[in-house]
Amino acid sequence: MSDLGGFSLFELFRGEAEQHAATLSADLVKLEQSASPADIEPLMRAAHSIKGAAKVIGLDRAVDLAHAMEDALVAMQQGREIPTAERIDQLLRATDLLASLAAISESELAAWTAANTPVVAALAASLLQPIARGAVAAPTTQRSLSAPLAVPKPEPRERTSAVRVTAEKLDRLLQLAGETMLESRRLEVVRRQSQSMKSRVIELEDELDRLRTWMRQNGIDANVLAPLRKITSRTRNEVVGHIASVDESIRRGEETATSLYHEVLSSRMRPFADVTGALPRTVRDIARQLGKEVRLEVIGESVQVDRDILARLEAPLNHLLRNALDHGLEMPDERRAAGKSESSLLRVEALHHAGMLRIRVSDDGRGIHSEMIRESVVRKALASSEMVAEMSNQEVLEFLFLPGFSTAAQVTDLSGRGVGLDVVQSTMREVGGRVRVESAPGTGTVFELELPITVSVIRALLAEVSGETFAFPLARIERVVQLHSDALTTVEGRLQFSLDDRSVGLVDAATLFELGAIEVRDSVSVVVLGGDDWYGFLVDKFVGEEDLVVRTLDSRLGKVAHVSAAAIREDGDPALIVDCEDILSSMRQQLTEGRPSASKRRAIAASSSVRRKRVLVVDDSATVREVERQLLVRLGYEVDTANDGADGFHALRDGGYDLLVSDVDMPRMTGIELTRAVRLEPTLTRLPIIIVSYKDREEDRLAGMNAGANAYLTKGAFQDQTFAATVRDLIGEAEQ
Amino acid sequence: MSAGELALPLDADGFGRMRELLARPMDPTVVAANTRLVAQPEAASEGATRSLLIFQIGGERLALEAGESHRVVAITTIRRIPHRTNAVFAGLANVAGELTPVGRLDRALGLTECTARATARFIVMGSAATRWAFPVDLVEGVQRVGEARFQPPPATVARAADGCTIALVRVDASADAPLVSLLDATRVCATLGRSLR
Repeated sequence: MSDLGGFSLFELFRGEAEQHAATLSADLVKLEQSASPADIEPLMRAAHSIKGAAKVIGLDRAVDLAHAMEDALVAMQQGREIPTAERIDQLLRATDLLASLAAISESELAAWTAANTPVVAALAASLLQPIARGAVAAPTTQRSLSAPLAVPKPEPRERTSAVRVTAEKLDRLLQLAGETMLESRRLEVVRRQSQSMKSRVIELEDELDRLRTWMRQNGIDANVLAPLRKITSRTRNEVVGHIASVDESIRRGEETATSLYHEVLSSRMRPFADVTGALPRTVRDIARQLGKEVRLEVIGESVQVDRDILARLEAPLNHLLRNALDHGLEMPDERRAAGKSESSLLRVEALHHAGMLRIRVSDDGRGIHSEMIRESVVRKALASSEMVAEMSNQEVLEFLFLPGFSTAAQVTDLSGRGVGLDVVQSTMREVGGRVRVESAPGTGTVFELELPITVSVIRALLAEVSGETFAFPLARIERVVQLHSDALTTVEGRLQFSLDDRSVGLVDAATLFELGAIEVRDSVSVVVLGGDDWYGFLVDKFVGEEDLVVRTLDSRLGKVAHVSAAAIREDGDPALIVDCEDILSSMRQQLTEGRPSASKRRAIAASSSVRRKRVLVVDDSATVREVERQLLVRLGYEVDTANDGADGFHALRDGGYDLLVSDVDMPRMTGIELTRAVRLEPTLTRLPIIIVSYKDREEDRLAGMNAGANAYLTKGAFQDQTFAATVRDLIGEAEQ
Repeated sequence: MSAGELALPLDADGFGRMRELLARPMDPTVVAANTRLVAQPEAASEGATRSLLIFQIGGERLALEAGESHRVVAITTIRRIPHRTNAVFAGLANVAGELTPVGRLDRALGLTECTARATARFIVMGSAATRWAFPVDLVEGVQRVGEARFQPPPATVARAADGCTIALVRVDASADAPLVSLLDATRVCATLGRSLR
């Protein structure tokens, strides 16, 4: 299937069906509102395309369904039918079925067909059944078919041919494009070499000239030097020409590489419409369910956003819309009573603002009454009534983003469970954005999201710590300061300095990162982090600012404490992008709770995967092995066992053990022999060894210790704490 | 003169010309090609051959199956990773646009440590999920070696790199030349991988 670019036929169908289903879903909702035959044309085309694609790969159920849809649409186009809510519902259900087909994998196809054949048959039949003119729809259907809406025409989307490329391939392309950019800069070396060649030729010319002068002075015919002089000057001209052409190559290479890089980077960008495409449908369905009349306006569908950001945006956006539909917007009669139009307006706007993507979700509903929130805050004992009274409305609204804070009188299917707004906020924080809310009682609510246009490129401050380059995302930095070391003072043994009348505690980066100690100089460089509280992070020096393409860390590393990602700098060197949140929490811990112990620090570092120390128990008695194993497991260690010295040695060489516990008398290889062998093995020379034996004579003990054991215990040690204490002494607690 | 022999109508002059033809100096490229052919008499008798990438760490000669070794690239900056860098896991380096973990195979195998030299290179091995780069002092190149020159590693512990060695190879023709340790790529990746835990 190489000619399909790695995609199977079914995958290609899925892609096509997914795209057409999205069109159908959006355009059906539009048709319901406009009831204009002109809007039917694209629908018919979409249904027809799905039918064709399904026929090619033999998906009969999909063919049937698409065919029935087409028929129903033709009836509307010819004016035999009007787009009733009921018919639109049927068409939307059919669209959903097709979309569900596009969401499964090839292996699930048989199961899908088996499960959906009767559903498809019934739906196809009802689509082919004419709906009588003026048929009464469900009572909740309150539509304004007659009043054409002033929905702004979406910007016509360019129809260009497209191919499907996997995201991984795109990422690899981006890496290679970056590499090409560096390569073209490396030509600079060739240029420098040519330059020094030119100087050399000029020196040669000078020498020749001096020689000629000397020859003339001494009455020797200098004309013999003429051909030589000619050659050097020709060489010089050639080198100059060579430099010019290298210059030209560098310039062109850099230009091409840079535009290639930006082109690939921009191919990660998608129009905002990608997330809003499904919104009209969602809003329609929910509004119908609630019996509310809502029209949705989407503005800025062509705004370009990184696909990773778009993916993160989907859930918060849906949540805000559900929230507005459920709580924000009133029922038609309530609106009429308040002197508003019965149909309410929900608006989603996207625009680029100061290098950020700004999204506003606004409604013209009842607004949020800050009094209700104040009451709720006091009732939930989140703040005293005096404090709440002091707060501005804006401050009070911030409580809405607290987890579990909900003022909804009743929990509904859609929202009001108190989950959601906090998720919106945490999602925004994760991508380096923020969310604000504004509301005027009676006139509506506006949620404003502000987030970076891309997560693939960040602007960062580069700083050096113990010779390593770290990148601090600019969006996360409060201040950058260069201080004279005299400005630092010590309060209760902790370093601090003053900035804007605030006392800022200092933590040194090298120590926190466990990369050695920072050098103390006259001038110190500090990155100030934090939101409400400021913390100073002491680095060796600032390197500069750079745009970095963010790359995820190798998955084998797992989560690395204080580091969120990596990048390759313009000069090709790697830089680590720091995790500011993580650093802040470590700094808070150090400055407010005192220095964490080394073991605690390691625990933080390994937070995601706690590694337990591993012990190998070697004994030819199954009982002794089991006793030792249980004892060690109870202490928290990971334990493996081996039957004799030879087996044990084999296991040890595979590695990963922190301690060896061995018997002495064993077949094949005794414990003494094993100990000696371990000490001779270069990778194991420092492995702690405990010998446990029934032999308790002094000469036995000496034999063990001479072979290289760290401790020699008798088997009576299991009865008391000696064994456990010795293990702990040698390798420490089980968890690192 | 029997029937099988050819009767050449040659006169004295003809013999002279033929002698001249045979005695003319040989083309040096032909000589070189034939010398090469004659110089490798053992290859045929040694049966199948394997391609080995031969390199040096701390004066010791080591090898990997050429197919398994991914690439040989120039040494680039190794960025240490907070809390993670240790004796074996050195950090991440930019290898052809990919951030690749760098492991000190010299330390993992207990060899004399690599020194920063002009001839030093990274050898990059393993698939994307197990990829490692490790520095070596010198890459000698790829050499085809007959199966007959391979011998199993000693049963007793004798060599530093023993943990990953699957065979000892007499790469050079002379019988008393030092043996080269052929490393197993999977075991090398696993050994380095342990440093990430």
